[in-house]
Amino acid sequence: MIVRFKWSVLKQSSWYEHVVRFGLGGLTGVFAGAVAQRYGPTTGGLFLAFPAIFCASAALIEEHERKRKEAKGLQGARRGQQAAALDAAGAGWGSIALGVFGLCVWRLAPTSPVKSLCAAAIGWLVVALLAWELRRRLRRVS
Amino acid sequence: MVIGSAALAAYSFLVCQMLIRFRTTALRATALAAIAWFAVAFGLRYALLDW
Repeated sequence: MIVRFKWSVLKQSSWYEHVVRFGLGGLTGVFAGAVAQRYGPTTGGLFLAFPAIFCASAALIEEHERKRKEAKGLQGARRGQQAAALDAAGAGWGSIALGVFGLCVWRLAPTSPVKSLCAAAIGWLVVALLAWELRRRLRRVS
Repeated sequence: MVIGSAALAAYSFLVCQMLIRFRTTALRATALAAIAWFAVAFGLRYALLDW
C-alpha cells in the first residue's frame, strides 16, 4: 500500500463536517490551556492527547462508508464499523508517535522551546512512519 | 501529554475491539471508550506523578 493524499475525499465531506473537526480540535486546545492554568501543566497536558476529533471523525467515516454501500443497494452497517475500526487502529499506532512528541518536548523544551518543537515534529514523523511499517510487516506475517 | 498518549492508545484499542467484536456504532464506541480514556489518563497521572 502506497501512502498518498486523496484530495477527492475532501469533496465527499460537507463544510459543516470540516467545521466540526476543526472546531472540536480548537476547543480541546483551549480547554487544555484552561485546565493547565487552573490545575497545572501536567493535568492540562493530558488533554492534548484527548481524542476529541476522533469521535467526530469515526462517526463520519462510518456514515460515509455505510452510505457508499447503501447507494449500491447493499447493507453498509458492517462496512462502516470496519472502516471506523481501521481508523481507531491507526490512531492507536499514532499514539506511540504522539508519546514520542511529548517526550521530546518534555526533555528538550527547558533548553530551547523552538528546537524542542522541531525535534518533536521530526520524531513524531519518524516514529509514525516506523509504526506504519511495523504494522504492515506484522500483518504480512499473520 | 506522554501519559495522555498512553490513554489514547488504550482508547483506540478499546474502540477498535468494540466495533469489531461487539458491533456497536462508532458514536457509542467512542463515547464509552472516552470513560476509559479518563480512567487511564488520570489513573496513570496520579500513579506515576503523585507519589
